[in-house]
Amino acid sequence: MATREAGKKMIMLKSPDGMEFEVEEAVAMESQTIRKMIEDDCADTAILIPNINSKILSRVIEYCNKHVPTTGATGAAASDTVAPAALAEDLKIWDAEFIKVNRATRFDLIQAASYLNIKGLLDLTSQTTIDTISDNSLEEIRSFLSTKNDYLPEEEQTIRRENQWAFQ
Amino acid sequence: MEAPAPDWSGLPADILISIFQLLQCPDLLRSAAVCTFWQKAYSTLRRSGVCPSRQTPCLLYCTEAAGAKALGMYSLSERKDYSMPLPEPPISNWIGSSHGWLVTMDEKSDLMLLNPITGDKIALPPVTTMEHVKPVLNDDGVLEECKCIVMLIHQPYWQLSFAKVGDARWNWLQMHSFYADCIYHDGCFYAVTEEGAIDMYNLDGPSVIHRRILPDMVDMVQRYYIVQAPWGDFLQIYKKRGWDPERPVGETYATAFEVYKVDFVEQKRVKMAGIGD
Repeated sequence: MATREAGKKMIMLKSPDGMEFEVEEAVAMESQTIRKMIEDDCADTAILIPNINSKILSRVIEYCNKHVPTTGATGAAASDTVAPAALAEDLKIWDAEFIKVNRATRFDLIQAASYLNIKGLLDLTSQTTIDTISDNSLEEIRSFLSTKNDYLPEEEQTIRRENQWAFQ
Repeated sequence: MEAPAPDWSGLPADILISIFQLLQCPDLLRSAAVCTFWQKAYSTLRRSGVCPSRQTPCLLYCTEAAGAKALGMYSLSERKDYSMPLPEPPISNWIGSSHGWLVTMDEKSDLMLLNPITGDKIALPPVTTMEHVKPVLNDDGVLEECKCIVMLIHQPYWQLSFAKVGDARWNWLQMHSFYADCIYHDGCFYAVTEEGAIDMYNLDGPSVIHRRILPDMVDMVQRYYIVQAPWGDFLQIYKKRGWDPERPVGETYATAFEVYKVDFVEQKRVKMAGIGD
């Protein structure tokens, strides 16, 4: 099945603002959504990715490039260069740097990861959001995430009363 | 040059729900109070019955100061103590726990399932309806509808009785006796006997389906457990017991353990060399 080294198949991804990105098929297939399109033969040479602008799409491709398995199942001999644990540690450090983006970008990245169904990226972006929710008070969460408190005061009281212990 | 921050209440509900699933329980409850949109996502998650994943274990404890009024919970992830109110009637004994629910007993020995996180409680049929319990008091309880079966291993012959929530009586499974442990998986109960045999019970239909799926193992002096490992396999654990004449009568101690991997479908039992880390 797998096409060996020579002549890697390339796929063109197009953002709605007209930019085109040429990526290896294996990289594009990090996205389960794109993988499905390719496997179902719905993908021609170019795939239009709606809703994801070129700025975000380029970041997503950067992520997939880093995370695509290096040689695939057949390249057993290649694994003696770097230990898997060291490789995983390296990826973790890279991820931590990658996600140091402003809130607007992170917001877009979560939606892109969800739409393109890239589990690793969705986990990464979700986790940073969870860190915001976990470490902060309600007021801080609202301010960090620019979420307006649209409760009436008495409504919020009712919600708090339902699980009062959690607000200690 | 930070772009204007987007309003996170505009995040699609399905993404928000998948994020919520990763939250620790207290954070999840607090998130509902952020805004009405988050509250809706929280309610949807609660209604779906999907358990939030990756929960760090919490320690539940009682204190003398709080008595029967409150239950302490120490959250390991937050390194924080919480105090949760306890419902009436006062709980006099804690029997065990399963899937986040505590099994409690009141003064009349009636059993209740209590979810300490949500405060939900489900009363079980009065113990007086059990085959071997002489009715002393009568107590009519109205039970909530929910898909849940409680299995009891009881004296005098270590037999099984079960009740579905909503049942008015306990149902006695009298065909076999001397069970040591029991576990639920995929619609069936698997009970292990003192001799190490495993029986399967399917209680879904109008009549109980029973089948012995694995035969006896050894003599009765030992103790068997059946558990599910974190990686999903079912393990039958054999505890060899020794008896020390110096110790008080009846006190035994474990001298050896053996672990067997059990496959319910293939009806096979394989001895394991170890359980890894």
